[in-house]
Amino acid sequence: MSLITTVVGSFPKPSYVPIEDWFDASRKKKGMNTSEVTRLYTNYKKKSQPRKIVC
Amino acid sequence: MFVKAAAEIIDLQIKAGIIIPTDGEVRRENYIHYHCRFLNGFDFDNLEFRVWRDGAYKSLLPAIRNKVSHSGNIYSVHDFKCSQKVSPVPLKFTLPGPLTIMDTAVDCCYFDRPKLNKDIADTINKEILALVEAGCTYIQVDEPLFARQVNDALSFGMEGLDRCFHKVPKNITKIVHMCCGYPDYVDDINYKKANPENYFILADHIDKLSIDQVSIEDAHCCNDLKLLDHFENSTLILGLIAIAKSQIEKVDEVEDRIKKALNHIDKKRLVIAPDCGLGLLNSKLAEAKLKVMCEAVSRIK
Repeated sequence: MSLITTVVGSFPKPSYVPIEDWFDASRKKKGMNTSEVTRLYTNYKKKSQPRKIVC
Repeated sequence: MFVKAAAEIIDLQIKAGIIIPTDGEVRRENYIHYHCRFLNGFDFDNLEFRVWRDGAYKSLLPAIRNKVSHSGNIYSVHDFKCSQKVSPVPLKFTLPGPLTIMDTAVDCCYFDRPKLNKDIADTINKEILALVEAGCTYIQVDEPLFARQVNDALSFGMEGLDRCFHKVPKNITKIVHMCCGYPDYVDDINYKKANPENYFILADHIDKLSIDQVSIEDAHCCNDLKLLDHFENSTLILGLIAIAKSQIEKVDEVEDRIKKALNHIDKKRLVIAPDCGLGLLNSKLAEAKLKVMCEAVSRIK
């Protein structure tokens, strides 16, 4: 039996994903700039449609 | 778009050799606040300044202004089902731990850390029980703050973690991840990480909880592998890929580290992973590192 492999969680987002995360900010500006990312996502959520239960 | 992104990331991980992938947390602006946006009590409009992660960061963060409770709008089932639909294998789902949420928000209401920890844990438990109902079998709570705030971890954090998994059936793999922290950018060598020696203090305690798998970093901090002897019950997820270094690991080195680890823990209780999430790297680098890790694992007979 071979060892199991897994990942921990996050992965770089493809460029077409409409939100920015801490890591995108870090790659662009050499810093996570967390407050700005929080504000951007808050605005994104306010503009987007409420999620549907079924995907 | 999120489903397409999740499908691509899952496919990439599987092709690299990952047995238990995630959806890359594609819907989240970060792994902590995404959960908090579904809770009552959090204010994302009027951010508050604080120093966090033991001084590693200073910024404006969401504020806790009222009692924390779940809004009732469960997000994890939607996210899990959408991603699982495009995955040929069972996915792992991750949620932030209570202590980690507490360190990434500003408490303007409780001023009672154990009480706040308990209320946040209850919100995570709601999501986890819904995930179980939806068919998710690998559920991970990310609690990197255990390694930074050992006293709080021992005095109420472990109880909070237990509370997150309250009433979760035995057939579900319950996982806790506790790395030593992210830097601000790749190859930043001066950032303040948690002291990996703290793993020794945490190990005996966490091994006694009803947690099936404990995820720790090793690539960055290069633990004294006697640490692994302390995990007598849990399966250990050992991080063997650095997530904040651009230099790609060598297959031989990863293979050698696995062999050394196997001197301290049974093969059936060892899982290999990166130190933490790969979000800080670019996609090509993340893929290359995963391939190295899986190639090293494939050499272990």
